[in-house]
Amino acid sequence: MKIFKVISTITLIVTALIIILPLCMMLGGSFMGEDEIIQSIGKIYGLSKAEVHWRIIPQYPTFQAFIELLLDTPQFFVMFWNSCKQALLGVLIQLLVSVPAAWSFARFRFRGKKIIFMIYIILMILPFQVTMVSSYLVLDKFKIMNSHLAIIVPIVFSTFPVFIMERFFKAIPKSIIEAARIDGANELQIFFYVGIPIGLPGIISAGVLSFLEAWNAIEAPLTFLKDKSLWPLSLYLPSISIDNLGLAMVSSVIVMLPAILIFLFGQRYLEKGIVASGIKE
Amino acid sequence: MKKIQKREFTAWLFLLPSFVGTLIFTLIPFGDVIRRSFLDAMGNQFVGVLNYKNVLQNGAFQLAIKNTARFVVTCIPLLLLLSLILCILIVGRKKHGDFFKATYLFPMAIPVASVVLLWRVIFDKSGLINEFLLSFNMQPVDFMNTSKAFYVLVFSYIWKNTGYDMVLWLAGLNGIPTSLYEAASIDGANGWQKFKYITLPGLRSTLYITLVLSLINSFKVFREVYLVAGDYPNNSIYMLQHLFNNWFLSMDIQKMSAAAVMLAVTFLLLILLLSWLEKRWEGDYKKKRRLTHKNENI
Amino acid sequence: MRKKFSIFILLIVILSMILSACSNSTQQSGDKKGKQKSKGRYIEHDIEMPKLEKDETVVKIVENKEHQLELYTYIAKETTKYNCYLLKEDDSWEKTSLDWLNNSKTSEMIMVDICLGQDGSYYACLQNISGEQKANIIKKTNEGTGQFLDMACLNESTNVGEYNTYKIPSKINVLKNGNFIFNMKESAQDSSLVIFNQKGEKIDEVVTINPNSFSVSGNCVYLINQDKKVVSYNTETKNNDQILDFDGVIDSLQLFTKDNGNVIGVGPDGIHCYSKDLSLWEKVVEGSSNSLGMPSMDVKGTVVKDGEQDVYYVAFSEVALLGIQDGIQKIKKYVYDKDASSIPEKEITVFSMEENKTIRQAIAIYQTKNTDVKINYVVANSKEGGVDSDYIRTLNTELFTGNGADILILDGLPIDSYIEKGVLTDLSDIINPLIDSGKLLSNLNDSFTKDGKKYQFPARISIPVVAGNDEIVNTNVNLQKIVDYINKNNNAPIMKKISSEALLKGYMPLNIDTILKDGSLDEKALKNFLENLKTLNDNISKDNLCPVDEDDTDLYAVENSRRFASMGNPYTMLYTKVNSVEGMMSLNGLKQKQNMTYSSLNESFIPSAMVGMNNSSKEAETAKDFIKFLFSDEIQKLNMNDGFPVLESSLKQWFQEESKMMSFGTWDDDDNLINGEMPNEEEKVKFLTLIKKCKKSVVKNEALYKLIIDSARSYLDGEKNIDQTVADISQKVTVYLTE
Repeated sequence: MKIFKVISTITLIVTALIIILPLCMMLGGSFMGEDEIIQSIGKIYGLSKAEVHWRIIPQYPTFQAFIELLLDTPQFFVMFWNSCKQALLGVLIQLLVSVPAAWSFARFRFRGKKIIFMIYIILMILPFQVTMVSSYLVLDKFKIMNSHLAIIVPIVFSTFPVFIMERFFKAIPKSIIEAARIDGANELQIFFYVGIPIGLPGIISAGVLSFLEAWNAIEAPLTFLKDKSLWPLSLYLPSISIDNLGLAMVSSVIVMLPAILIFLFGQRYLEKGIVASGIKE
Repeated sequence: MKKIQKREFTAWLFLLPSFVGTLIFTLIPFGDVIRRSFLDAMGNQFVGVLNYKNVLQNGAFQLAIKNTARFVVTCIPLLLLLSLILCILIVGRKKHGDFFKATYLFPMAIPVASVVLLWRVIFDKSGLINEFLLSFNMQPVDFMNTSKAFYVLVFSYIWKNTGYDMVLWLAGLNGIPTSLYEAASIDGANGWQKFKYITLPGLRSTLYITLVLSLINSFKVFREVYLVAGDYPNNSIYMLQHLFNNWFLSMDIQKMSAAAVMLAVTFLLLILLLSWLEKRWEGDYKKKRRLTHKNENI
Repeated sequence: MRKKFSIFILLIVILSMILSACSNSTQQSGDKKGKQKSKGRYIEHDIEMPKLEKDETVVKIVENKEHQLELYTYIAKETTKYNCYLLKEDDSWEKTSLDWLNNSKTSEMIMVDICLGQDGSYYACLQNISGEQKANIIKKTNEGTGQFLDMACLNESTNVGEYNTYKIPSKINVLKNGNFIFNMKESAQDSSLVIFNQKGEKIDEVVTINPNSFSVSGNCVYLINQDKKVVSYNTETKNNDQILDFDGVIDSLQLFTKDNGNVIGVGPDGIHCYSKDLSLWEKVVEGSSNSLGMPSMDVKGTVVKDGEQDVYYVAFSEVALLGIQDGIQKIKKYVYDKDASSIPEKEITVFSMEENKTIRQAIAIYQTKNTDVKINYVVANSKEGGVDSDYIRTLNTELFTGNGADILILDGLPIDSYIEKGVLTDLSDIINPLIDSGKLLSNLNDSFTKDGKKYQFPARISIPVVAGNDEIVNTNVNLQKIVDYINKNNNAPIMKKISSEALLKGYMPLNIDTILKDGSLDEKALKNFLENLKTLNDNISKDNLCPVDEDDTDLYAVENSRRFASMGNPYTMLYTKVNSVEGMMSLNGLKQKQNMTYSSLNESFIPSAMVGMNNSSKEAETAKDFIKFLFSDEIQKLNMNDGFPVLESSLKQWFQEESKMMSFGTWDDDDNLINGEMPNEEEKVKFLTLIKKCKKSVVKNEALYKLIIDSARSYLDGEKNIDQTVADISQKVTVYLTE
């Protein structure tokens, strides 16, 4: 039995290393000066003849790239705030709209529920390119094209969180609901005082995942936002050309940070909720 | 009757904002797509099923479907298996479980463009892996420009989603009451038997959700491919979205619409199948649990 | 039940409020930007120049103490005479005397700049034209005489060989405390404003990105600092007093100050006014619809006449072809007309992927002639990087939904798809009459007729030319001949090294017909093409004369003097593009080399500014009128150095124009001077005939070319073998064709 434990631990550690390796590479790269980067991987871009290698810990660590990004690139901040606006606003309003919807699907029976839910799922799976043109039409009609709303509104009405939260709401034991009903609570009160607290892990998970998706969105901003001043951060990275690899590394690290923060925050709730939802019949 | 009506009304109340929004911003656009699939490119003439015929016979479409199918069939089972194994290894580890979980989840947070950068460093023909191979006197492999690109994609997908799926499995695992395991132990079942008869069935509904989510994520792989290889990548990684993109550039929206409708119908059938299966399993499972409880209470 | 119902209503009300508020706010911000008043805007008027003598150069306009406009000129014959003209209320001129400036010493100089300093006196900066080329500052004293000031900075000389060179300011002004501020070139790169005291000793230096764009008020200087911000620099405290946040186009912005502390900024996007009280900039005159927005007009000075609505006088110089600016040629007046509708009734949009000067000029001119039309010029690829296909996708989305620009400049766009899908209007009713009557070059007819219709037509054409050793260069230049030559004389690189991408981009259009036959890829032809190209690439890789410029992606780069200079030593050939008669000078320089000749490239031409019209345009009549205007003599005869006219009469006019005294000179490695002069009559006739013979349009298919080039590059750079490359390309082209 002990051997099993040892093997499994080793497997876990090795897997963790493989997964974290690219992350460390990037962190290391963000502290490297331009020359060292070119020396390390320039061969791929035809910039140097030296063999490709990558030190996790840079030989000459420097903050140069950080400084260049944070102080010399004003549009970085503009894009950063754009990302914040679009992602945060989008997800918050999205939760306002989808939590009740998920509750409805989970706990009520009504005509057409199955069909509508099925439609929700299909809409969720379809890749962006499929509805690109028609979405453009609708957004244009509402005159929100080329504005933050063009990104926020589709996020708000995304069916993805509904799908995730429905599962969590469904898992709430009937007995608790019945108890509340016996105590005289109406539907709204049940939703607010029973559903949301118990389903919180689901809500948070959906929120975190939606935020990640919104933070890293590429196709929608590219198509719907003509003004470069409205572009979010996720579009900044691809536009950095080869001759500024250091900048690319640093911006990757910085773009990652909010996502990771929200992630870690959400994870704690995820844990609590998973344990809590273990309390079943 | 009144009570049911009241319940339905309340249900609709909760659903309304989301439904109205989805209707306006997603369903109606899709309705437009359906409409366009029966018209010509600029939307002037009705052409019946001509677009569907053209698309199905289109070589590029067939290639894209083949690749997408190949990718999905290869990756998803692999991913599900790997994440399940990791999940089992982690479950119950109170001390380090959290740390591992957090680590595995990181790839999800990394922006796509950065991932692309790293892949270039690692998989390029003068990249790290090839350096490694050369040092062992093996032939370097040009990953990005040959059919080996497919494997890079598979690796990228699994790397990104393993942690995600693992957490989903964990959630599902925690949903199986421990009482079942205790009862089984009393009955003399060993670890493998417990796994086969309690764990696996208990994870069936989690399987459903994980499958759907993994499917969605498999389409997102397109972003990485596009950033690395542009509009016309190697044939082995030419995906549906490439085709859509290029059709868009050449104004072939009628083909896009027909393909989109076919795609949606395929998913519809898939989901229907899955949910039917799930219902059956859930039914069986619930029956089993009630039986076990009954036994307990006796 | 009632409670629930009211909650329901509340929810709906809140939701609709949010939605409408959002859409309202976006509309409002749009309104604020447009500054919509229902009536009233500035209209441009011409001010006729005073009667000038031949070769009288207009130097500057100055606002005098009575806030009138003074025009300063000089005539440089055997002696120089300086004149001043005063603009009267009725816009006529009165010549005034300049006694303080005209004397025996100054008659040996010319005027560089003149100003009315903040201390109330006039100062002129004159430069000697013979002997030691020094600058002199002359001040107008209270008695009305000219006093030469002894300035230490101007008397400093540096020795260069046998000559002494002096620093010469190009713009001067004087602060209230009597200190001078000059735009003086300290070195080749530095552009800074230098402040001197009365004796000419340097006190301070201010860095600015546009040293000709400063203005003074009291003891403050208004300028654009290196962070591209408009600041007011206090010369006494040596600090920035204020930062005036400017949100318009800051390149080429010229600053002028008014007495009341307001600041005027004149730029290509219009006239902006900074109100001291509001601390805000406001655009008062729109530039894109008049001379301010024309690429050919350069702002030289502004005078503002106060009033209920200020009147702006702007002096322009017309940018001559080679950037030689001869002072001021035009003065325009901008007056507020309260009855003119602020937004013209008709509005059309012109779209192009990249900035096109001829189109921009035409747009401005058209609007001055048709004040009831507003034309928006949308350029997709303005400054920051972006992938072309993304812009095309956005444009396509607009086209699908029936929006999109009314007029499309089709350079770089998927024209064939547009034609196939019926996006473009048939322009035959405009073009055919012009061709039939011989007005448009008839050799262009076939290339742009499809199924008997004309969906596109270029407003400009360039002629690609190959020049070099007469063994290779004759009327039938092709890749095979070049390769044979290389294999025979396998030594020196035959032309300047360029990147493999540029090589591919340059040769693709010429060879695409052999590679892609009848809608399918001919693999053998492709292999042959690539192998030949590799031989060529390997050969030019030996060139280490100059470093490869990574940005140089054009095989036909215009006037790369190094290439010309090194012809014969070691280069054997080069490709170039001729855009104008002046562009022939470099070709003429080759005459000095042995056995060098030039010829057209398979009688092809490169079209640009391809005009197409959107079928779903809602202002079809206006759009068609503008297109007609583009092909009229007025626009066709403009020379923005971006191609020859397609209108026969304008083309002839170009060739018949008297050649300006210009020449093209460059040195090769051995310090031999290659001098090319303007072509003589015979050469002009020869080239004109050549232009008329060019019938093939250089076809551009961006998507297909990019596909092939991306794969072929690694082959040319030696990283892949030929069979693999051909297989790759074949695979991708098949997918491309099947889509």
